[in-house]
Amino acid sequence: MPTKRVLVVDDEADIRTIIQGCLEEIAGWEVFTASSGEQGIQLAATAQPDGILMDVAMPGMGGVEAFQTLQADTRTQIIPVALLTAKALPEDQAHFATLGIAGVIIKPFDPMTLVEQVSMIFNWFA
Amino acid sequence: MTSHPYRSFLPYGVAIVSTGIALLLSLWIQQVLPQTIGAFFYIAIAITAWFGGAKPGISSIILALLALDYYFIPPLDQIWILKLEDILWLALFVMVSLVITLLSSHLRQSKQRIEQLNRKLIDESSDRLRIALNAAQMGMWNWNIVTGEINWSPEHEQLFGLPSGSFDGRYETFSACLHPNDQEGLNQVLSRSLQDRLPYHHEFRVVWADGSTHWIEGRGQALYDTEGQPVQMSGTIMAIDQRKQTEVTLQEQESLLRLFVQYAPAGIAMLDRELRYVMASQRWVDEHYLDSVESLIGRSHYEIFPEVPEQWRQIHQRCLAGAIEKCDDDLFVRADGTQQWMSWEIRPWYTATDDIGGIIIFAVDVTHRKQAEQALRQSEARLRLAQLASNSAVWDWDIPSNTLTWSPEYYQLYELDPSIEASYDNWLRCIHPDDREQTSQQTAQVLKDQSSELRVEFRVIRRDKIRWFAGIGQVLWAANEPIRMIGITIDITAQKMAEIALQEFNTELEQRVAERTAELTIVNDRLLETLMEQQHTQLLLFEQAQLLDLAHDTIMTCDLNSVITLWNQGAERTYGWAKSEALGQDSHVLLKTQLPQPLAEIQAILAEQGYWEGELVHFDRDDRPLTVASRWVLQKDQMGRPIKILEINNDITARKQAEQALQQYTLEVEDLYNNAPCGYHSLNSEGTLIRINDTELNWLGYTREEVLYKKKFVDLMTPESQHIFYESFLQVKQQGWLNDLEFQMLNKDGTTRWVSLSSTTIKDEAGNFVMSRSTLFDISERRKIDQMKRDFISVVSHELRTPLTSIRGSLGLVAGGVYDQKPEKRKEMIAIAARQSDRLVRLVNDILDLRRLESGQTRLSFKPCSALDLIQQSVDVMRSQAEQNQLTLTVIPTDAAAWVDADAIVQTLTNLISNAIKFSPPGSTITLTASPYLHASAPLPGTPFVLFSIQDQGRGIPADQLETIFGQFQQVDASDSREKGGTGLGLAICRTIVEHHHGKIWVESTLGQGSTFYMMLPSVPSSQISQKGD
Repeated sequence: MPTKRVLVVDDEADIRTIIQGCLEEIAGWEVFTASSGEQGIQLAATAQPDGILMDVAMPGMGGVEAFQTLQADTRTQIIPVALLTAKALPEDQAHFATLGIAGVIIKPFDPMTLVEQVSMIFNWFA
Repeated sequence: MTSHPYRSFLPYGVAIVSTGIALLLSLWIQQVLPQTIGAFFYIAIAITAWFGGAKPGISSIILALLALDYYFIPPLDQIWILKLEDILWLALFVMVSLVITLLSSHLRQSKQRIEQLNRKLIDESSDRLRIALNAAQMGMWNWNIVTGEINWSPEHEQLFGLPSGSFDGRYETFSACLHPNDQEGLNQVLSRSLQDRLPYHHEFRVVWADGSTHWIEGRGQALYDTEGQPVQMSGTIMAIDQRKQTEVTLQEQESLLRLFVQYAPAGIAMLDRELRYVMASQRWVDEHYLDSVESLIGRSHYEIFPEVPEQWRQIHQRCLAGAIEKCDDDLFVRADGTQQWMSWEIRPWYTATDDIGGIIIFAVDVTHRKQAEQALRQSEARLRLAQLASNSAVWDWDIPSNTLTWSPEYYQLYELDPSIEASYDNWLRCIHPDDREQTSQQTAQVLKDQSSELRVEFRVIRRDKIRWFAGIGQVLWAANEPIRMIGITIDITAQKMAEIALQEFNTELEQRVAERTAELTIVNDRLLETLMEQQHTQLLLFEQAQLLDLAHDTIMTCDLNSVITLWNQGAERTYGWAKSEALGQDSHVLLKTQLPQPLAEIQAILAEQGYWEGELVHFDRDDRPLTVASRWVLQKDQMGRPIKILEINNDITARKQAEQALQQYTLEVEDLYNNAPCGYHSLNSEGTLIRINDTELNWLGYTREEVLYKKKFVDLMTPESQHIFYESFLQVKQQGWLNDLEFQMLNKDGTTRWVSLSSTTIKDEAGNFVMSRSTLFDISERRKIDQMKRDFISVVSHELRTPLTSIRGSLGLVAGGVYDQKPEKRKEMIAIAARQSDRLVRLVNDILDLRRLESGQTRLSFKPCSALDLIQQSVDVMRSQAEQNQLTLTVIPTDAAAWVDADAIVQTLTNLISNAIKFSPPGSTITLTASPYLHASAPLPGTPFVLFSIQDQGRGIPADQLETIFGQFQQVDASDSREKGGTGLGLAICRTIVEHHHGKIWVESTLGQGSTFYMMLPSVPSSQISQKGD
C-alpha cells in the first residue's frame, strides 16, 4: 500500500498526538495536524493531503463547516473527509449522513484498528 | 098544414073569379059602352095582383087575354086572331096589364112590410117597457076610486112578494101587505094627496109572506071628474131597498170616516168657514196637547190657539178662498225650545154643492224622518236631502157595484185627466207594471180576510218619473161580505227614496258589518278569552283583596305627594313600621328611598304608561338596607285624573345577595376561564372557534373579535400541525375525546408555540356532534427542557467521550506495543492517560455535584461565617496555581459575616478564582473582597446580605454571554475547557450553590479590561462570628 498523506484536524492536542502516533507508527503514513478548522483548511489547500480526519466539535469553525468550506474550494473539494466525533447519538449520525462526507469515526476509537478504519473509509485497499 | 094549400090557391081563385066578373061585366056593358072593353079586366087584374101578387096577376092577364080573344075579337067565339091590329091591341093590353100587375104587387109588398114593421115596433116597445119596469123594480097600479077596484101590474105583485096574478084587487089586501108601522102614515099621505090634489109620493115598507121587510117608494096621481071628485088614481111603485141600505151604510161610513180621521196617523183638522172644528184626528189632539177630539168640535181654532200668527191666519183665509197650501218640512220651534219638523197641507173642503165648507189641515210630524235624513246626510254624503211631498188623496170603492170614487186630489196625485173614469182597472193601469200584480194580489187578499186592512206600496209612472205611493184602506164588511173599501193614497216617494237610500246604506253597512263581524269574531274570541281570564283574575283579585292586608308582599298606597295612605301587614313585617306609624308619613322620607332614577323621570313614566317597575333600596326601622323589587301603579279616578300610587314592594335583598354571589361566582369562573394558565376554546362542528379564553388569545396575539366565528382552529396552526390536527379531530368527533395531542400553533406575528391539546365533545340528544371543548397547555417550556435534557445528554456524552478517547487511544497504543521501542513516547502516552483520567474524574464529580445540588440531595449546613475566612480559605487553595500563572491574588480585608455553608461557598469561591486565573494574563492581579450589602434588588428585601466580589484583569466577557456562561457546558470559548482543563460546569455549580443560599451571582465585565464576579449571600451580624470564633 503506497504511503498516504493524511491531515488530522482536532482541537484536543492529546488526541492529535494519539492519532498521529497511530497512523505514522502503524501505517507509516505522513501525518499533518491542525488544531482548528481554519488552520485545517489552510493546510489542506497547501499540503493537498490524500485524506482528512476532521473533528466535529471545535471552537470557532466546527468540523462540518470546515468540510463545507473545503467542498466549496476547487483545490480541496476532491479530498475525502472523514469526521471524528464523540457524538454517537442516532440523530447526530443521521445528520452526518446527509453531508456527503466519506465516513464517520466515532470517539473513542481503537487505536490499533484506526488505520484499517481510515483505509476502508477512503477506499485505500484497491 | 091544412090552411097552406088554401092560402096558396086563394089568389088564383081570386084571379079566376075577378076575371070572370070582369068578363060578365064587359059582356053586359058591351052593348052600352063598346069602348070600355078591357077596363073591367084591368080592374080584375089589379085586384088579383093586389090580393095575390104578381103570379096570380099574370094568371089573371092570361085569363083576360083568352076571354078577350074568344068573346070580343072577331071572329067571335074563335081562338084565331086574323087581324094584326087585334094582335097589337092585345099586346098593348098585355103591357098595360103587366104594368098594373107589377105596381099592384109592389104596393102589396110595401104594405105588408109596413105592417110587419109596425108589429115589430109594437112588440119591441112592450118588451122594453116590461124590461124597464123589471129593471127599475117598478110596478104599476091603477085604483078605481069609485068602484074601489085596484089593478096591479105583475111587477107590482112581485114587489109585494105576491105570486103573479094572485092579487084580488081589494084595498084591504093591499093594506095588509104594508108594514104595520107604515099603514097609518101611507093612509095619511094618500088622503092628503087626494085632498090637496097633489101628486102622491111616499116611502114605506111592505112585509112579504116570508116575513122579510122591503122598502118601497110609491108615486101616484089622481084623476078627477068635472065636479072635482077623484075617480081614479094611477101610479108606480119602486123598490128602494138598495138606496135605503146605502143610506144606512153611508151613515155608518161617515162615522167610520170620522173614526178614520180621528185615528189617522197624521194630524188632521177639519174646520168650517168660521174655522170651527168639524173633525180632528187623535194625532192632532196628541200633538197639540189638547184634551180630546170631542172637546174640540165646534170650537174656534183661534180660540184654542190664540197664538196663531198672522201668517197662518192669512194662509187659512187663502185656503178658504180655494187655495191649497202646503209645506213638506216646516220647522216649528215650540215654546219649550224643542224643534219639530212638520209636513203640512191646508186645503179647502167642499160641500155637496161644491161650495167651500171650510179647510182641512193635514200635519205630519216628520221630525224623525228629518232627523234620519240629517243623520244620513251627515254619515253618508251620498244621501241628499229628499224633498218630500206628502200629497194624499181619498178614494171610496163600492165593492158590490164595483164603483170607485176618487177625490179631486186623487186625480191631482196621479196626474190623471179628470175625464178618466174612476175604476179599479184604471187605478191598476196607473201602477207600474212590475208592481201591478203584487198590488192587485194584496188588494184581493184584503178583500178575503176580514181582519186585515189594506196597506200597499207601489210605484206610479208620472210624466216619465216614478213616484212611490202608499195605498191605505179599510174594508167595510156586511154579512161577511166586503161591501166597501175606503182609503187614502199618499205619495210616499220621498220616504221611499229615503228608505231605499237607507236600505242601500244598510246593505253596505251590513256588508261592512259582515266583514267586520269576521274580524270581530276573532277579536271577540280573544276578548272572550281575555274576559274569562279577567273574570278569573277578578275573582282572584276579590279573594286577594281580602288577603291584601295579610299579604306577604309589601303593599302600600301613597297620594301624589308620597304620603302613605295604605300600609298592609306585609309592609309592617318588611319595614318594621306599624301601620299607625306609617300612615300619613312621606314614604320616601320614612323608608329613605334610594331610587334608581330621578323621581321626576319615574313620575313621567307613570303618567305615560300608568305603571313603573324598578328596584329600590329602602331602609327598615332598624336602618338596615333592603333591596326591593318595586312596582308602582298609578290609580286614576273616573275622570282619568291621577289620584294615588299603588306601590307593591317585594324584598329581594336575599335574592340580590344571591345574585351578587352568583355574579361574583360567574365572574370568578369567567376569570378562571379567561386567566387560567392554559388555553380554553370551543369549536363548532365546522371546527370554527366559538369561544376562547384570554390566555389562548394572548398566546396567539389575536383579539377575540378577530377569531370568533371567523377563524377555524386549524388556521392557527403550522402546516405540519394542521395535518396532525385533521387526523386527530376526526378521532375526537368519533370517540368523543382526545388527550395530549401535541402540535405547534402559529401566532399572529408568525412565531410558533408548542401546545398539548385535550378535547371532549358535546353532543345533542340525538348523538350529533354539537361542539368540542379543548384545553391547551403551553408545552414550549417543557419541550425546551426536554431539548435541554437531550442537549445535556448529548453534551455529557461528548464531554465524557473526549477524555475517554484520549485515555483509550493512549493506553491502546501502549497496550498494542506500538511504542515498545520508544520509551519516551510510551511515557507520554501514559501521561496523557493519567491527565485525561483526572479530567474525567473532575467532570464526573462536577456532574454529580450539580445533580446533587439541583435535586436537593446536598444538605447545606448554614452557619455564621466570616467572609474574610471564606475568601482566605479559597485563596489558600488556589495560591500555588496563581503563582504558576504569575498572578497575584489580593484579598481586601473585611469584617462582614455570612450565613452560609462554608464548604460550598469555599468551593464556589475557588471555582471563581480558578476561572479568573485561567483567563487572566500573566502578571495581572486578582482582587477578592466582601462587604455588607443592602439593596432593593436583594432577593429578600430588608434582610442583610454580604456581597463577595472577585475582580480580574482578563480579556473580558462579551455582553451577550454575561448570562449564558452560568449555564452547563457553556463557556465563552468552547476550546477554553480543553485548554484550561475546565469541565464547563463550574459556573453552573456556582450558581446552583448561590441559589441554594437564596443569594445571587452575576458578572460585570468590560472587554479587554477585565471582569468582576459578584456573589450576594445572606449575612448575619458580625457579633455571631465572634461567638463562633470562641
